[in-house]
This record gives sequence, C-alpha cells and structure tokens, in this order.
Amino acid sequence: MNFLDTIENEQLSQLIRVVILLSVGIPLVWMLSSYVGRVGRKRVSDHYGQLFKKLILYSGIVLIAATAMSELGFKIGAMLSAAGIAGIAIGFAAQTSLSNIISGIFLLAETPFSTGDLIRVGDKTGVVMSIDLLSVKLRTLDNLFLRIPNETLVKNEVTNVTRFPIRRMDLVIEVAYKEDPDHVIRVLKEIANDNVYSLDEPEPMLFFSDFGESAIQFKFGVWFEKSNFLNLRGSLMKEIKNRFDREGIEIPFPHRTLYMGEASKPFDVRVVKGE
Amino acid sequence: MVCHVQKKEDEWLIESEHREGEEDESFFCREEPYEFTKPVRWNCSAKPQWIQALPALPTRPILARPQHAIQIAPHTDLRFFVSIPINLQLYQGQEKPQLLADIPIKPLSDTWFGDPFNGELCYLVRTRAVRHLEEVAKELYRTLTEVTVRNETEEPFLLQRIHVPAAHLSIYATEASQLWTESLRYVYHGDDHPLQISPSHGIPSTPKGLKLLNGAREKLDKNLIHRTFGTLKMFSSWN
Repeated sequence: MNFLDTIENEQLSQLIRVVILLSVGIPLVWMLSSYVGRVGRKRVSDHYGQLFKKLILYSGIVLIAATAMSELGFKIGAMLSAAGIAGIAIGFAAQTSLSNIISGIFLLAETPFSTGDLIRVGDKTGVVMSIDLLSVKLRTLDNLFLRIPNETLVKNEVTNVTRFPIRRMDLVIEVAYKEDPDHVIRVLKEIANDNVYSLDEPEPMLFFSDFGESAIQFKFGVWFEKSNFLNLRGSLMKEIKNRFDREGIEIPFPHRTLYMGEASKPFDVRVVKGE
Repeated sequence: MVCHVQKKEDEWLIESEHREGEEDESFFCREEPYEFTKPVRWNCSAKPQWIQALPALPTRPILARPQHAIQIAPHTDLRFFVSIPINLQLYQGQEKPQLLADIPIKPLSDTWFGDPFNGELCYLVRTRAVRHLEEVAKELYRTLTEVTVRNETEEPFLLQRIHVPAAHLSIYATEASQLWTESLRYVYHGDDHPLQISPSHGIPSTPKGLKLLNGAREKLDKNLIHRTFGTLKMFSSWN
C-alpha cells in the first residue's frame, strides 16, 4: 500500500511540475517573443522583428515540450532517434511542405524583400504582410489576402517595387508626324519641371524613340519618390493632355491611308445626294 | 497662396489654395466672406481665442541649385545668398500654442539628393546665388540664408548644388520684415573627405537687429552633423 502511494505521489508531483512548467513557461516564452519582436521592429525593422519573435516562440515551445516530456519520463535521445527514422517517412509524405520550409529559410537568408515591401510575382502585386514557415502572405492593392508558397517565390521571378527610395515611370508619348520633335521635347521637359512630384534630379529621360504606324514616339521617363506613383501618374497625364492642347500638338488616333497602285484603277467614289 | 481662417462657435475652419501662375509678393489679412469647400476643422473652446501666424522653413531639406554652376578657386571662400520660400504656420492659444496648419506659401518641386539607392528627398529651389546683399530681391514670403563655401583643395571646385538642412534652421526678422536664417558654412577638402558643414548658432551675422520669430523644427545634434557630412559628398556632382 505504501509502495503504491509512493508511486502515485511521484506521478502526481511529476504531473504538477509539468503543469507548472507549461502554464508558466508558455506564457513566459510568448511574452518574451512579443517583447523581442516589438524591440526588433522598433530598433531594426518590421521584418526582423517578426523573425526574432517567431524564432524565440518556436524554439521556446520546442524546449518546453522537450523538458515536459523528459519530466514525464520519456527519453529524449531515444525519441530523437525515432524521429530520425520517422523523419524519412514523413519527408516522403510531406515533400511540398519541406520544400516550402527550406525555401522559406532561403528567403529569410537572401532577404529579397521584407514585410511592408510592395512586390510583384507574376501578375500579382501586393504588400508583404508576413514571411512564414510555409508561405508569404500578401495584401493586394485591392485589399485581398494572398498566400504564396515559399517554393513559388524561390522558383519564380519576384520584383520588389519599393526596394529603392526612388523609381522611374516610363511613358511612351505619341504625336502626329507633322509635329516638330524639338518643340515636343521642349514642352515635355517643361511639363516635368513644373510637376511637383517629378524629381528634378535624376533628370527626366526623354528622347525620340521610334517611327510608329500612326505617330512618332518619344520615351519619357520621370523619376519620383516611390510613394508618389499615383500622384505623379494622375497629374502628369492630365498636364500632358492640357499642355498639348494649348500648344496645338496633335495626339493622333491610329489611322491608315489606303493607296491604289498605278496598275489598278482608282476607287469609284460617287457623291450621293441625301434624302 | 490664399489662406482662409474662420472661427465658428467652438471650432476653427482653415482652408488654403494655391492659384496657378500666381507669384505672391505681399502678405496681408483682410475680412471677406468665403464659402469653405474642404476645410480642415479644429475643435477649440467657445471663448474668443487668438490665432497666431508664423513663418517656418519647409519640412524637408532644400537642394539649392544655382542657375549657373560656380567655380571656386583653390583656398578661397565663396559667399552667396539663397532665398527659400516659407511655410505659414497657424497656432491657436497663447500659453501652450497648438499647431493647426503648416502650409507652404509656394508648392516646391521634389528632388533627390544622393544616388538612386540611398539618399534624401528634398525640395528644389533654383537660386541665382546672388553674391551681394544689395542685389537680393526682398520678398516677404522668402527667407534668406547666407552660405559660405570654402575650397580647401589645390583644384578648382565646381559648385552645382547645395544642401540646406532647413528643418534645423530658425527664422529671424529684421525691422523691415525681411526674414533670415542662421548662416551656413561648408568646407570642401576633396572628394575623399566628408564635407564639413557648420551652421552658425544664434543670430546671423550679416544684417543687424534681428529678432527670433520661429525656432528650428529639429535640433541640430551631433549624429545629424555626421550624417550630413556623409550625404554632402554628393554635393558637387551627380553620377
């Protein structure tokens, strides 16, 4: 009877220790990870804040779980060996998930983008909300939640739109063949100079680029601070239209001239009196 | 720029507009009826209240670009004046003034100081870089900054642009209401050395009898001086 009591008391005290460990350890790890995440966000960046937070949270939970198991009498060494064998089996079963986890590690190491960056993947564009174990979460410009598996990001081309502080917006401006190219270049330069969002330095790029089907073409590249894209585009397009109208510069519609060769007769055109 | 201010029972209504092609050469207040369309509204007490208008420097650094680049001979100083359009600040209350509006008198164009990967967003001011005070156009809506650049190298130095840390400068006024900031002195030791900038503290030396109107937006601390040294390496050329 005494022997059984002793065993029961020991098990009870083990259980109590495990409950205390879990009930104190998990909130403690959670609080510590939140604190480090907050400090990291403030002192370094949002991206590293999230990274530190997850690192502390996951490793803390693994550590607490291992201690609790050990407390309950499980042998960690034997469990790890078993996990190795099980790992191979799981590896075959969860190839995609593992590939995403490894891709996630590459993404974190390479840092092609951070949280808060605007990125373009294929035809999708969005702001990075978080970089997680299996996927990257984006908020698209029309406020949709988009989850992209890490593997996709490693395999495909990713454009980080907001990596650099300034960007260039390239426009192709078409004017009628009758227009004087020097006059058009001068007017476009003035438009860029007068626009408050267009950066004076680096200078706008402007040149006569091509003879189009219905118009001569100019490449017009204007630099701007990355957050001013819509302001610049909206104001610049309006100013080009208004100023071209004032200067009498024609923006032509596509048109086609039909020409009959010498061997054939001209079109038979007759003017018919209306009713 | 026209700024409309109205006190209704317990709120201020503020609205400003920039009229295209308009150059403001005067500053005056007058009472006239106005239909507010998109006012900024501020709550206040129903009692009669003071509103104070003060000039302030723009919120970003200024990149002053001389109309024609200037060559500075070795071991010489070049002194010139840069005029910067001001912002109009409106405050309510006398004991603890509260900022209600900070409106640029003239919208300034954006420009970039640095390379495309790393730099600073500034406002562009095209300057005649006038050498003599008597040639400076006296305009009520602009402050004047006396800038001295010293070339300490053996080669001539081509001055194409100058970075003015506007947020760290205060505004002073003469009796004739001409606005001034502290003077700035830059020393160029060559491309491999950081450029030294030393804004003089207190009242600028050139005009006499100046009165402080509005303090700097930010204090000029040691870190900022070091940062400015770094960015000012871009001061003479754009690559």
